[in-house]
Amino acid sequence: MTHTEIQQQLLLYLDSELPDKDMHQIREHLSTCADCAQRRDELASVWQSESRLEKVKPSLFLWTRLQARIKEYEQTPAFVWDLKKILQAIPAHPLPAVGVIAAIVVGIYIGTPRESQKYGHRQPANRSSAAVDELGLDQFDVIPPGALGTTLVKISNTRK
Amino acid sequence: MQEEDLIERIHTDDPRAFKDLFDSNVTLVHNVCFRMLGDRQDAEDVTQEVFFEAYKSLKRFRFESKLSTWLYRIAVNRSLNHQRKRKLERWLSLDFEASEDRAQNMAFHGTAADAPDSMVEKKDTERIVQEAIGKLPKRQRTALLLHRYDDLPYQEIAKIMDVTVASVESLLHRAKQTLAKNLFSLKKEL
Repeated sequence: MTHTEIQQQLLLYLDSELPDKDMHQIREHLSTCADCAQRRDELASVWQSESRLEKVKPSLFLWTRLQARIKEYEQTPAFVWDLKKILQAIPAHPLPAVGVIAAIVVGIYIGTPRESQKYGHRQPANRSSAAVDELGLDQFDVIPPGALGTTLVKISNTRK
Repeated sequence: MQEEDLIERIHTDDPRAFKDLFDSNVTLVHNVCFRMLGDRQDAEDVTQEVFFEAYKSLKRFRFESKLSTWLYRIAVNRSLNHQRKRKLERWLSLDFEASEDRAQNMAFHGTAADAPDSMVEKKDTERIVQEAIGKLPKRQRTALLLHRYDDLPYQEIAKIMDVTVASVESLLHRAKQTLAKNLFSLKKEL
């Protein structure tokens, strides 16, 4: 095992949670490597500290608060209670989030090309359709020579 | 007091029974929540949630596990939910400046200022350990906290986390390897 591998196993070694073979190998290594032995001592002082056994005491009012909540629960109809739960799930400060979502929606709206920009290259075809309408032709009819150009000019002039 | 007696009394609507259950388990539940959340107020809120949940579900309790295991399980799940909710709230309120994870920034047992030197040293040491534990992935952290602070056997941790004993062993193994690395780097920073 390398120094790094040994150091990675030190907590398991301190808790005697390694197979006998590994425990023996690490013990051997620690007896000859001052650096790893020092790390073992440092870890042991932190890891085996007794302060972990100290308990945190809850507030004396915890029971009173719980009691009040239970009382409220007992006196409230089930559907009102469920509704309250749903309302409580809504975050307390939703405004910034709503702002961000609105900005994203506006951004997407502004960034999306308009129909005319999107199909700009097809405008002549649209104008041709308008010309076909103007001439009263069916879309499969053969356009008389010269008629389409004249009508297109006419339409353009009208739109100007 | 036997757990069975206690549950029996609750099932027969003994008005003192739930208070007895609360008294005998509140420190256990509160400490689990505190170590998972790293904040006294949050721990109290979640402890209250846990007992409230227990109150609502007690009549359905069928002795498939120990009462304490059941309470541990609710406490762990509620604490994880609370952490998720807090993260979401911070994100929604765009409070990115707030500490990313309170579990990484624990104020263990009050402030150092009100304790004698030896206590300060002990608290500092424990703070380092807790900070390092707070950096572990969620499941490794849960397993390690239950193992280290509650001395729970692997079987019980497995029941609480709803995983196999082999998974608990593997989680703890990986947790201790990562923790050794984290502890060295935190000690260096001091």
